Amino acid sequence: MVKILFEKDKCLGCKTCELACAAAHSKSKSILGAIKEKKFSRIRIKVKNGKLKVEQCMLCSDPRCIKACPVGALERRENGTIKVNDITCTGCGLCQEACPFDAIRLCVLPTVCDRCMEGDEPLCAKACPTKALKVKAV
Amino acid sequence: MKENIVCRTFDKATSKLYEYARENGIETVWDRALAMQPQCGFGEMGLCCTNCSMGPCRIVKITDDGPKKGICGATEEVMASRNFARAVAAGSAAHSDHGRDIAEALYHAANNEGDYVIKDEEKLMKIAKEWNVQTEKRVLNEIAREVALIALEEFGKPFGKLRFLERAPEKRRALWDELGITPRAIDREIVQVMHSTHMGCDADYRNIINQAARAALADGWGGSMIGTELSDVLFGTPKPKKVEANLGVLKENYVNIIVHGHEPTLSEAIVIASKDPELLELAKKQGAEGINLAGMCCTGNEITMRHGVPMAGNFFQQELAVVTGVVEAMIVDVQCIMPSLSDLVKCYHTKLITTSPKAKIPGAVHIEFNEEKAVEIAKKIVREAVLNFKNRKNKTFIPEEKAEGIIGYSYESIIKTLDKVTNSFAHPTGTVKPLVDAIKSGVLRGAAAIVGCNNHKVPHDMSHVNLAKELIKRDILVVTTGCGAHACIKAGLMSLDAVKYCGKGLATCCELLEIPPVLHMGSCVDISRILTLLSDVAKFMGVDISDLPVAAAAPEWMSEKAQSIGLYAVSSGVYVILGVAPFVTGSENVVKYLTSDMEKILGGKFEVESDPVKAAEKIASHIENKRKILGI
Repeated sequence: MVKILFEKDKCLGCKTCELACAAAHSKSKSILGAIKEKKFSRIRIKVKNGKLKVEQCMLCSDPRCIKACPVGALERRENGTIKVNDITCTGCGLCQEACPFDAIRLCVLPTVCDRCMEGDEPLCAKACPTKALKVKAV
Repeated sequence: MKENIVCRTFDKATSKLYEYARENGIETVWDRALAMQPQCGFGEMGLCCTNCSMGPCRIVKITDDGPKKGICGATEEVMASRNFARAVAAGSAAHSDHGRDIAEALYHAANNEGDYVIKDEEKLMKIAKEWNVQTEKRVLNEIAREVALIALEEFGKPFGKLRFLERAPEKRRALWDELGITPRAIDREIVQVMHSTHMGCDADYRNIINQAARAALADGWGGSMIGTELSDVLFGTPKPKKVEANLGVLKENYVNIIVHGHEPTLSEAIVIASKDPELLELAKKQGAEGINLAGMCCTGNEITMRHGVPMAGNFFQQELAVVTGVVEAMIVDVQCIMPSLSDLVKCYHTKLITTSPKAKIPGAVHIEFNEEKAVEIAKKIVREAVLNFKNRKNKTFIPEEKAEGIIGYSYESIIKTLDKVTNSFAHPTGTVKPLVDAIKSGVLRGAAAIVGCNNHKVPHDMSHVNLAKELIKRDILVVTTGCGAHACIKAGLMSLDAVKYCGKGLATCCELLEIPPVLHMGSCVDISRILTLLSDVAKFMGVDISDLPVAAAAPEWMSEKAQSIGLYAVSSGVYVILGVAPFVTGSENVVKYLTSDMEKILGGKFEVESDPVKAAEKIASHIENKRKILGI
């Protein structure tokens, strides 16, 4: 599994990770393309109760999102990421509500971090200018 | 910052209207500020450079192996100082362009083109003498035309230096000359900053900041001063008068018109149009009792100072004015107009009317203003408002909060007020002597200016008001302009009652002169009035401005104009406290230059302090220190 560690003291809130994520999941692989294709970022840097927080899939061992899905459209891949069955998913959003990390967003269907499994490494961490996001294989 | 306390404000009307807006699902500046969190740390530190297309470049200080130079090699000092200098240049440009518009309006008035006439002949003659314009055997308009032309030439004259610099104490002028920062022509200094901060030019942060200082001085002693002085000539020099302030000045059964923005050319014409009998008649036909004009932000300051028009509120209240549901038209010109107003007015009957070719907003009604047909256009605009009265929806909410205060303390009014306590047998009138005497005797410890905007990074109005209270408690006279002035009058600090907040010395002075302890000196360009006053006090005492027991604070500043003001104040020798740090914190050297080294060469410096009580303590100790050096 690929863990992504967030060191909030290093984060400057520039949101480069968000842009890189959206671009990586767009067809054109560009920021402008992602905006046009309405591709959401699967990582978000937020301030909650005055503190910096990252919203990203934590690869739970017993994911609440899967349990919450009434049609069984979500499953856990071997690498811990969540796979959405886009044929059976109705886009109801219960998984989004169930996630304790606010890691799921509806982009019609649920979008959630896939650790850039099609590529070599998660692009959010690669793009981070301050190395506040670090990749750790476990 | 807790999420559930989104709108932090000192002002009750503001918090009530904010809650009301929220209940109705209306988004305001506080909601957008919350949604913007976290804000980018690179921008905040001034370490992001987009000056050339090799970038964007960012300097990463937080990790050891992050880039420490831009692609061109620009260091953190270069980036931070260049970004700062460009902000100052933009601020100087905004104030100065305002000044140019006023000079153009004076030129047209002198040619009998349009509706403006010269209201203050005495002031015109004073400026004419100052600029060596021949006044004998000439008609008024001829003199006015020459003064206007000279003023317009100040922006782009090829040789020499700015004329109003002559007002500054000799020591100060010599210092500027020595440092090579005496401003020549206003536009030139702004252009020079833009040039030298271009890719591959100036790489010495001290030189970059010094050039920015030159552009800032061209604002304070140039563009802003021209704006103030010629506005007085054209529209009258403000005199003390009692006015009401805060959103409670809006009236349920009236056509409410808000003028918002900066230049008095538009708002003066709107004042005339709002008193037009035909339009008043039309308003009655529409079922309204009359037309209620109120001013917002600095244009509000301009027309309240000259006509006693009620002050509707400051920068953070512009959206809330619309939220009341009783504003038929919000008429805007330039600067500090939130683009959000356009979306906001879609939820109400309010018409947003833009008037300047420099500031159009999609979704607004654009009725372009020009000085030559001022009143005709103003009537057309007011008619739009009046005819909109019938579209008002039932659901309205006017907060009851309004305060009363005395405003109108131009330089001339202050001198006149001081004349009241001048012994006319022993001393000439028309001088700053009584003020100097009060300071020398220690009854007054000194004076401080509180200026600037609103900023979500500090609670709305709270720093302005609390700092003012803390200062007057310490017998420090406060003068204020801009959104700070709105904050102070709303909090009751411009009423004669406010002596209850004063120390004994200041209270005695205020009672003797019948003035409030916080003096409203006008709009943001009118900070030039403060420069004139400081110069006269310094000259009277035979010292430089930097020797005086005075200070300035911009506790809630946000605009580029405020950065220009801050830098011209510092460059004129004033100690300036900022409540919000400018985007330079990424470079220790730049910070050190602005907050310490500059004092050694210019006598003034910046300091960042967001706590109003601590800021007051710092100002008081600065003032006491200056007193000690002066031996008073």
